[in-house]
Amino acid sequence: MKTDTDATPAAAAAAATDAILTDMADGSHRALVVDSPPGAGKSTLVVRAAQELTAGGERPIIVAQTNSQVDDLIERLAAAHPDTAIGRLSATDYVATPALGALTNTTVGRALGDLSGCRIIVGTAAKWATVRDGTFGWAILDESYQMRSDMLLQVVERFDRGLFVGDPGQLDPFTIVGTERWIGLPHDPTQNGVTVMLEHNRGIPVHRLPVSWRLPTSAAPTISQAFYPFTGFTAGTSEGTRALEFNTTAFGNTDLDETLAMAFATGWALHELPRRHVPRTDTETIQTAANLAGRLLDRGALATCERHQNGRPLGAGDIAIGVAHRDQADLVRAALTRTGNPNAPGVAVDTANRLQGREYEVVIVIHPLSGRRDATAFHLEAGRLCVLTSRHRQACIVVAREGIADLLDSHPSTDPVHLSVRAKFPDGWEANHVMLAKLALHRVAA
Amino acid sequence: MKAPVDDRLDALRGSAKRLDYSARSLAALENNPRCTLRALLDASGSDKAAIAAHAGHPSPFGQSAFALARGNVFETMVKDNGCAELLRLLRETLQLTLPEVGYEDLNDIGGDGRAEVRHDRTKQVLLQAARGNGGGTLFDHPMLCLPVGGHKAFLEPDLVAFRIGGRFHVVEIKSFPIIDGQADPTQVRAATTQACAYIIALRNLLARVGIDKQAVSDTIVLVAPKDFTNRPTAAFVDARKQVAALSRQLARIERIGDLVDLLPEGLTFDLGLDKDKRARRPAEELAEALDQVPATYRPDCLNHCEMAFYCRSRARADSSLDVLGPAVREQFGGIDTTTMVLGLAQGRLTPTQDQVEMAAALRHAARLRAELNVLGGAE
Amino acid sequence: MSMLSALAHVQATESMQAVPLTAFRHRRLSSRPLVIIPLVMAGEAGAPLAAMVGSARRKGTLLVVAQPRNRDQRFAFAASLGRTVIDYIDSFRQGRRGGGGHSRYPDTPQILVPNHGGIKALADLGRMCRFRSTSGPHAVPDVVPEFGMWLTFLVDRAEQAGTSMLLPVTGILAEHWATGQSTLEDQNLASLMAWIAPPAGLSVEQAMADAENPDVCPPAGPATSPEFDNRDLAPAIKRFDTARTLGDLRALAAAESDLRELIAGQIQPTWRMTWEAIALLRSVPEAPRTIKRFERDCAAFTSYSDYRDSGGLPQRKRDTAIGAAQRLGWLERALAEFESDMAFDDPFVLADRRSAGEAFAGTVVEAEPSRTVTTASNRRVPRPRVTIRTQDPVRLAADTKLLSPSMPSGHKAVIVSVLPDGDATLVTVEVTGGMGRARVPARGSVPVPDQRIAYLPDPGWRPAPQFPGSDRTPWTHSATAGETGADPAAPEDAAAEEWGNED
Repeated sequence: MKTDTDATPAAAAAAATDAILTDMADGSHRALVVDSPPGAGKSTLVVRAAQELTAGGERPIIVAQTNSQVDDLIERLAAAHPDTAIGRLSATDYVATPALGALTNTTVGRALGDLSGCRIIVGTAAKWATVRDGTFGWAILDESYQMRSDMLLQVVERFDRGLFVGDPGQLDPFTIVGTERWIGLPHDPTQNGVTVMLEHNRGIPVHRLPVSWRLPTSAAPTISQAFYPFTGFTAGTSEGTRALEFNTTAFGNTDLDETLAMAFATGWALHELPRRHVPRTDTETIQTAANLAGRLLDRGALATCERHQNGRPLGAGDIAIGVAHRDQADLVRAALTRTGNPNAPGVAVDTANRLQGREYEVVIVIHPLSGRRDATAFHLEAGRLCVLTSRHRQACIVVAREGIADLLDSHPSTDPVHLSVRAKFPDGWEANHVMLAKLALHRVAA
Repeated sequence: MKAPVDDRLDALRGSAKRLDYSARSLAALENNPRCTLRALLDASGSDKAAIAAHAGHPSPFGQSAFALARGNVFETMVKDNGCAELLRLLRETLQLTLPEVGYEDLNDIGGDGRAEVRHDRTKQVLLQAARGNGGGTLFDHPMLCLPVGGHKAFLEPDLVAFRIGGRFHVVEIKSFPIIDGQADPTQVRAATTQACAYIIALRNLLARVGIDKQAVSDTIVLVAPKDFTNRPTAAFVDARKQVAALSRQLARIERIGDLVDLLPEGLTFDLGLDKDKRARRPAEELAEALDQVPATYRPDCLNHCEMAFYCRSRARADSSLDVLGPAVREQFGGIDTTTMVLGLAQGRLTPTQDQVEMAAALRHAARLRAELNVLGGAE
Repeated sequence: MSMLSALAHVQATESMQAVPLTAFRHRRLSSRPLVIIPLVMAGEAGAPLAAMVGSARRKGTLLVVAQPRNRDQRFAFAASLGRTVIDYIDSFRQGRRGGGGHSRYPDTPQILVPNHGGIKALADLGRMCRFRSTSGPHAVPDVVPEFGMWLTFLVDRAEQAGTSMLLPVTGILAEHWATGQSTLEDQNLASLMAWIAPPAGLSVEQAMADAENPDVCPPAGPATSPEFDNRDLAPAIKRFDTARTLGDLRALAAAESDLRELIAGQIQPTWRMTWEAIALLRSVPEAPRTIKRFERDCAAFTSYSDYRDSGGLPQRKRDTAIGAAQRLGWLERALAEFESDMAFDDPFVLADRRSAGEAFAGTVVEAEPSRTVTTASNRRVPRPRVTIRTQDPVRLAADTKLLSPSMPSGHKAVIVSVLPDGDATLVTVEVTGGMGRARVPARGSVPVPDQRIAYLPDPGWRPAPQFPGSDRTPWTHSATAGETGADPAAPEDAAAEEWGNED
């Protein structure tokens, strides 16, 4: 699909959406794939597609990957279509969020029978996998690049046609089982569902959303180059639409302030700690990330954007700290309580896996390679860094120890090579280099 | 004033004949790009196997005559009758539409087997083909040349290049089996590294006359025995990442001068060969020279590098954590030796500012292990 | 790897002897295992060269293929090894217990090979044999495909964590002992044994050096050392071939016995060392939950036996879409359970998880044994709360479900809160299960103050995934209708495989 380069982002995005809906209405395709870079309006598309299908007399189902994704989609659907009855297919121990409980057009049910009056039924893939009968005309599969092929196999009998929506640049699904027995098979169950479906069905249209509404102009080109080298996308907002300013001036003028100032002015900052090999639980790194959040909250910031043209004060909920490992997340949470700012514990802290699909104003990242002696495939994975550095609407601050460039330089290329398996792009090494080159321009030595 | 880089490299090698880069040294380069000792030995064209042996740590990389024989028989079979079997595979197994086929053997040019002569002939034929003037489709044994660190390395021509749709492809013929569509990934990786060197060399050759690198595909065709038979089968190997990685590593070698500058004057790995090719230099003296150059030992080196056993003994003597491998090493952050780990764990050493946290974690771990041993851990 | 295991390797380095990583052996050792030491020919795909096989140290049988490239000799070898193995397997197909569809054999065969390469060699042999035809121009003895199918069953089963029907000895040793060398070197049986039990009169250093010298310790296979190949084996095979070509029966017999002797010299050291390793492993107590996994092995063995008796087809070359998804589910569940079982059984493994904050142990400092709550169905049930003080760096969050190896089985709890207390941590848990049916918890079912107690996360019950029937592969996982290939389970046109090169 081509987009006119002269068109405005809004026009390009609308054209892409129209093309998708046209293909969907056409009915000649068993499946459609929509690749969506970070913040490209994937959920908006899902809501829109559900509406079109319902209007055409369909009773679509939506398959999401986590309960919070389901809740989020239902809130959006309910707001966009107050007259449509929406069903939430849930496990027995599911407790509706207050926001969801307040919706009048939404029913929560444990079995399909409870939701017979609903026009759209939403559930997690795991829940849909327990449904043994009933077939629907269309399913919309959200975050489908994170759904493993074996999970798709458990839900596929519930629908005739599928709209597969997702971000190919994020983390691949994984398994703890180390086996090579399925490598090279088109139906390798450890692959994501989209790839497997495309392997078996020729001529499936693959669309791409061309505009990121989340990433600011400072971030879109770099993220696009590093993680979407072959497709690319642009920022939806223009230069100057987004801005951060402090409510107070820095009195101590610490390196934290310098980093925050860099991030506020340019949208990026690399807060570089002295070179040292450390375990991933290194207190200095973890406390620094927490302190940056605390300092930001202490000083207070006003964020201007297309939604709040007169500015809006940033709260703890607008900030996230992203890490690679769960133990790091636990330690950052503890470190936030030590910052002295009473609101700091409200800052979201999570691993890349769990930050997928989420959005914040400012994101502070502990670089996965920080302080390491060598890089493993896990730490080099392009998807991990992509998730961490593409959650923000305003600014991204990366905390790292000096030495990542050397580490990349000395990384052995010893990955096994398999027959007839297409190389996965982007390459983690290359993507890391692009990001590092960008961050070097925004470096603040601590 | 220090001597120019090349002179210093020659001095490092001493009187021995210069060795070119080989498949093995390229693999070692990929596996341990940061190792100074390996980089210097390779860049100076030193004979690592002979040096390691003389230093008391012979390398174990012998090749079985059976494997060699099998490899040769298989390759001959695939190439017989102007590569008839190969053509069948390209057409039937890989479903390539090869039009009329020309076959050109670049192995021996009128009895002159010298590398330069063969390289010139290869260059002439391939450039003609690239410009669309030659009739050839299959080029057997092209002699390619890859500049590594400013030196020409002629690559052993045990492959075929073929041209289809205006692009050259590299074919590797290997004798390890493809069983039910899968082959040993380590062996495939080694074959791929070799093929990548050819791809880069071929691209260099064409680039010199302004032909784009797209003229050489980075998808390799691997031909190997099918299942347990002697019949060949073929598979594609996507080598894009490996080509990029090897290009990066080769670009790094250009910086060898920085490493050379750090060496003490007069350092040499010369074995002092006499006229019977026997090493006359005292082994201790050689070891002393080697000890002056930093090495980055990883257990994985044992699979690739002739110097690995020497480096391992050095790491053991230093009580280096490198001996235990990266998974163990990772747990100890910036600590380098087993002595230091235990000193901190048992509270015998006072941690520096940087080590306070690690020391606390180590003491907790040591306490747990002590508790367990008291509980009667099996001995 | 946890810091605790890493520290064990450092301790081994410093003390120059292996140190234990676990309190128990988590693999069952049969009282009558069958040891197989397979050797293959370098450069030849799955060409067996020899095997030593037997179920007692003194009863090893050496089988040799004089010319591994010769197809008939290869399958003669496969047939004789196959007969030994099938006889061994058959000896376990008796004394079936239990009734109806649930009856099963009370014991299973157990094949032990020296290292992971040995498993690969058996996998190749299984693949080579299982599709062979027993009639037609290249007929093989009946036992060959049968052997191939059983080997494939065992190799597939060995992929599943915690099973014990086919194991590499190096793997079991390295699960229990930490050495002062890397994982790579631990895969060499002789190097590993050098650290655990060096030969009498040798230091660990000497034993390690010997272990890497092929003239002292021939490699444990499956590949032989290139020096041996070039110096000894190649000339011996050549003499055999020459004698055969000339039809010189005396020379042939002499050449054959030379070959046997040469190979015996390569294989016997490994044979002896494997049995030494087994004896050593017997001295390590078996973990309690090993029996539970063994029972599953018995069920799997019984069910495959029945499948063979019903004339079942050989295993496919590659898994189908549904078969692969199913297998992935089994493998994942088996691994999660095995890890949890080990931590439950073994204080060393538990400590590993404790040092990573994934489990904790401490002393009960406060208890509310008579606390009750009213359930949704208006029943009053005991929900005692207990607070534990621990020095472990706990990272478990509230609502994590727990099990405890220090409490009677059935005990279940859930974390209420985790709070720092100076340099220690206070974890409050609510006991939710294992208290009996009465209104008051059964005696000993609730931890009491000053009691030492450990908790670890409950892996929980996961429903087995349900996939479409194997004849109904959905459109996302199968090529367009009409493109279906031949049934891969059907024996291939085996006889047509060309062998060539029979010099």
